[in-house]
Amino acid sequence: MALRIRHIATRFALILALAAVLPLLAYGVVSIWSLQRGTRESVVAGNQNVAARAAEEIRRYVSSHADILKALAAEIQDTGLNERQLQSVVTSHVLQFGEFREITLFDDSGKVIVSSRVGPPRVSVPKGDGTMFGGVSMSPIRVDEDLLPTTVFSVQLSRLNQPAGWLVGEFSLEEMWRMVDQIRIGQRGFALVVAPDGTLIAHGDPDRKALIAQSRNMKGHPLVTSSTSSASEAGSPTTAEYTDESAGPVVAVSAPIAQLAWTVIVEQPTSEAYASATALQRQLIVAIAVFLLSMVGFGLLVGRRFIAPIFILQRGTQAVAAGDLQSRVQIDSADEFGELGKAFNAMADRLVELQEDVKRQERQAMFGRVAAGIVHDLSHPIQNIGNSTRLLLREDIDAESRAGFHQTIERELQTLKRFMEDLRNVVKPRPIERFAMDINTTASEIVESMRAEGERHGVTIEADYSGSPLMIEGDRFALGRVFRNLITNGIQATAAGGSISIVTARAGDRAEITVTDTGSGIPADRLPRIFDDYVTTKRRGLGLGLAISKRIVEQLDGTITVESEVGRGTSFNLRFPARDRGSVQAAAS
Amino acid sequence: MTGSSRANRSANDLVRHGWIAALLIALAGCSHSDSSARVSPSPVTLRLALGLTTRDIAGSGLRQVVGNIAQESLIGFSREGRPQPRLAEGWSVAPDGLSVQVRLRAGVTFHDGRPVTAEATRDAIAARFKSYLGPAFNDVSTIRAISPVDVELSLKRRSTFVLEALDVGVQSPDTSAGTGPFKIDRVSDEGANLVANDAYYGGRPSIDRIQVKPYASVRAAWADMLRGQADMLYEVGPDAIEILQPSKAVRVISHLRNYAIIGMLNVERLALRDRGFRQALNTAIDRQVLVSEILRGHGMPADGTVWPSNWAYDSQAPVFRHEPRALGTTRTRLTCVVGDVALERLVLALQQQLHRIGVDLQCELMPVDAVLARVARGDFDVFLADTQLGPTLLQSYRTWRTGAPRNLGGYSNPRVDAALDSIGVAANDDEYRSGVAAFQRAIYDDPPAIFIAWSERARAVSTRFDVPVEPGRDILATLRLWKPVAQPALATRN
Repeated sequence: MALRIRHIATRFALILALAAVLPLLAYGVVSIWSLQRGTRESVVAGNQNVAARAAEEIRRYVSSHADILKALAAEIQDTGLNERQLQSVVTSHVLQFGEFREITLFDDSGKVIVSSRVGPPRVSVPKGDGTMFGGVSMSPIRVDEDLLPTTVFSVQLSRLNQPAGWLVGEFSLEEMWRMVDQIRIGQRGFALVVAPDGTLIAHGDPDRKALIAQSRNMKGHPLVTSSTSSASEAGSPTTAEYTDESAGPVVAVSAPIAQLAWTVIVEQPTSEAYASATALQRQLIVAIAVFLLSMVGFGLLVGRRFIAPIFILQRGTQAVAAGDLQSRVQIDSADEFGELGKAFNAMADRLVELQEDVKRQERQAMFGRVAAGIVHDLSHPIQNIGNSTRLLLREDIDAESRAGFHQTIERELQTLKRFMEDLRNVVKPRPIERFAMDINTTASEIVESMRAEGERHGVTIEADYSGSPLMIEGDRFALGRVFRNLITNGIQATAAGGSISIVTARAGDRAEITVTDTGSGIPADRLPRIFDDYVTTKRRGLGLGLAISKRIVEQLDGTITVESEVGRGTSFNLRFPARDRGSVQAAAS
Repeated sequence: MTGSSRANRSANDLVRHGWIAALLIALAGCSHSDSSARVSPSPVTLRLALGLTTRDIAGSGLRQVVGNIAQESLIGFSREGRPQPRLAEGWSVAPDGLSVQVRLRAGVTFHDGRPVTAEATRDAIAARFKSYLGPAFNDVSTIRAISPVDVELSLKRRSTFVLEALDVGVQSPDTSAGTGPFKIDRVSDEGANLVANDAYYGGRPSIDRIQVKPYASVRAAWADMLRGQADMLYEVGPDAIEILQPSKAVRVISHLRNYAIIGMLNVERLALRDRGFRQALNTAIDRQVLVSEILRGHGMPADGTVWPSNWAYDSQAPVFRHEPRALGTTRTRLTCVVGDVALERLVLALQQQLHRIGVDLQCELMPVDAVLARVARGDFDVFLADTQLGPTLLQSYRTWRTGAPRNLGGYSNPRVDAALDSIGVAANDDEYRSGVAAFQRAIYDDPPAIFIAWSERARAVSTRFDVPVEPGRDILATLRLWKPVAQPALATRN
C-alpha cells in the first residue's frame, strides 16, 4: 500500500529534504570519506618517504663507518707501519670517529697486534656469522655485558693474496641512537630500528629507550614480520595501523635496509598524524551541520510562509462551509496566492449577497404566498358570508332558503374561525393537554365527521381500527385537528373516485396511525419541506396545516413521517408511545 | 508556577541534592577508609645505581658513597670555599689565631643513638686530623672538649687549614655510626641499604630507604636505569647524558665539581725532574678540545691547580695554555696508570696530543687497588685520576705540599710550600689571597701534574622524585629534601 502523506507541510518538508538536505548529506559523507582516505594516503606516503630516507641515512651512516674501517684496513695492510705507528693510527681513528668504541688489529692467528683500548680488547676475530657488505663483515647484533645491543665490524686483511689478519672495530650503537633521535615526524612521531632477529637496536623516543635496555624483541611486530618476509623487495615500505602499548593508536610504515637486513619503522600516533584531517573533518561536519540546520530552518520558514496561504484558505473555506459567511482571508502576497485570497473573499462576499437575495426572495415568496393564502382562504368565506348576508336581508327569501343562508354563514364563520385558530396556533401554539385517550375513539369521531365531506368530493373514507383500545397520552382535541387536517388534505389531493384510508395499530410499544390517500402525490423534491410552515402544494391555503400537525405530534412525543409517489398517492404515518390501560389510569389518577 | 511555589521547589531540590551528596561522600569515605585500612602506604625507596669505575675488592667506591650519605661533617664549605655550619652550629677563631672553638648543635645524636658530644667530636677529629691534614697537623697543639658542646683546638701557630679540615665526617667513636639524614642498615660488596634517620636534627627525610647497588660500569648502571630498575644514577657518563636527557622519565642534573682530572707526575722519575719538561707536557694539552670532544662539553679546562670558583682565586695568575712545542728529536716514553675506565678515551686523546711533542704515553688500565699499589711503590710516570682540588686550598695543600698525604708523585717545591704555608697562617682574607696568588704562580712555574679538566658530574634521577636543585651544588647534598612525586592511587586487589 503506497504511503499516503496527508499534510502538505510534511510533503513540503520531504521535498525539501529530498531536494536539498539529502544531497548535502551525501556530499558531506563523500567529502569526509575522501578526506579521511586522502589524508591517510598522504600521511602514509609522507611517512614512507621519511622511513625510506631514514633507512637510506642509516645505511649510509653504518656503511660509511664500515668504509672507514675498510679504509683503515687498506692503510694498514698497504703501508707497512710499525707497531707504534699502527697504535697511533688506530687510536686516532677511535678518537676521530666516536662511533668506534674500540679498534683492534689481530694477526692471522688471532693475536692482538695493537688495540685502541687502554686495557685488554673486548673484540675478537669474527667467527664467520656476520653479514657481509662491501667487504666488511658486520656481526649479528648481540647484547653485551652491559646488556645493551652492540655489533662489531671486521675487515680481513690480506697481503699478497694471503690472509694477514683482521681489523676489528666495536661499533657503538648508542652513537647511532643520536641519529635516530633526530628523525622526528611531527611532535610525537619517532623512528625505531630493528635487527633481523627482532632485536630493537634504536628507538627515537627518549622515553622508550628502556625497551632497548630491556632487550625488547620486535619479532612479532606487524611491520617487522612483513618487512622480513618481503626482504627481497628492498626499499618497498609497508604500512600498518595498530595500537601501541604506550602511544595508543599509531600509523606506522617500515623501510628495510637491505644491506644490513635491518628494518626502520616510523611510528606516529594517529591522533597527530591525522590531526589536520580530523580538525578539517570536524570543521566540515560542523559546517555541514550548520548548513543543514540553516537549510532546514530556512526551508521550514520559507515553507511555512509558502504554505501559510493554503492553510489560511483552508480555514476560510471551512468557516464558510460551516456557515460563517462573514469569514474572510487575508493573504498579502502579490502572487497567485494573493489572487486566490482575493478571489476567495470575493466569492464569500457574493455568497453573502446571494444568501441575502435568497432570503429576501424567500421572504417575499412566503409573504406573497401567505398573503395569497390569506386572501384566498378568507375571500371565499367572506364572499359567501357577504352573499348569504345580502340574501338574508332580502325579504323575498323563503324560510328554508333563509335557514340555508344561515348555515352557510355559520359554516363559513367556522371556516374563518379555524383559519384564525390556525394562524393563532402558528404564532402562539395552544398548550397541549395530556390525557389518557384511545386513538381509535378520536380517529373514528373525526372519520365520521369527515365522511360527508369526502362523499361530496367523491372520495371514499375508510377506516380500520385496531381490535383493542389503542391508548396513548394525548390531547383529543389537538389530535382531532391533526386527523382532520390529514383527511382534509387527502380529500383535497384526491380526485373523485379515490379513497382515503385510516388505519390504527399497535406496533410494539408504539401506537401507529396511518392515513393514506390515492391522490396526486407529492413531488419528491418537496417532501423534505412538507412539514415546514407556509409550505403547500395546494393552490390555496397558508401551508400551516402539516406544520401544526407535526408540532402537535412532536409535543405528544410522537413522530410523523410521509411517503408519497406522484400519481399514486401519499401516506402519513403517525407513531406515539403506547400506554397500557393500567399505567394510563395511574397517570390519570 | 508562582514565585513562592518555585522557591519551595528549589529549596526542596537543594535539600534533596544535599542529602544525596552527603550520602555519596559518606560512601566514598567508607570505601576510602576501607581501602586505607586494607592497604598501608609502602615505604618510599630510592634505588641508587652506582657504576663503579672498576671492581674494587674492598668496595671502596660503594662504601665511600654510602659513607658520604650517612655521615656529616662539622663544617661544610660552599662552592666558593666559604665555611658553612653543619654539625657545628658556629665557630670562632681567637684573634691571635692560636685557638679555634667549635660549638656543636644541641640534641644531635649518632645513628647508634649516642649523643654527639664534644668528647665524641674531639675523638673523631683527633682520629682523622693527622692523616687528613698532613704536615699541617703539626700546627695542632691540643684538641679538647671544653664543654659538653664546645671543642677547642689549640694551635701552635695560626692555621686556616685546621678550620678547613673540619669538613671531616664525624662518626661515633665505637660504632662508626654517622649523624646524617640516612643511616646505614647494611653494606656489603653486593650493595648497601640505608634507612631514614628519624631523629635527624634537620627533619626526617621523605625517603624511607635507599638501596645502593653497584654495577661493573657506569654504562651498565645507566642501562639498568633505562630498564626502570633504578631511580637514580650516581654518575652519568658524558656518552649517556645526551641519551638520558630528552627522556621525560629521567632528569639529568649536572654540576661542575671541584675535582680535576690530572695526570699526577712522578717527579722522582728522571724524565720528569725537569720542570721545563713538565711545563711542556702541560702546554701540549689542548684542554678545550679534550673538554669539547672527549668530555662532550661536560667539564671545564683546568689550567691550574686552584679551583677557579674559590673566593681567593687569582684570575691574573699565569695559566697553562695550549702552546705545544716539540721536545727535541728523541721521543720520551712515559708510563701511565689509570684506574677509571671512563678516562679511556681521554687517555687516547692525551696520547695523541703528547705524541705530537714527542712523548709516547703508554697507559695501562687496571683496578684501583692495583693502581694504588703501583703508585705507592712509585712504579709510574703519570697517574691519571680525578682528584679533589677544591673548594678550599686545603685540598691543594694535601696534594702538593711536601709530605702531604696525597702527594703521591713525591713533589716538593719550597716556593710552593712557602706559598701554602702563607695561606695557612693568613690572618685575613687579603693575606689569604696573596698566598693563593703566590701558590698559583709557583705551581705554574713548577707543575707537579698535567692539569687537564675540572670534571662535571651528572646524576640522573627518576622524575618520580622531586629534587631541589641548587645551582652549582651536588644534588646529593639535598638528598634529605627529596620527595616522591604524588602518584595516582592504585586500585586495590579487592
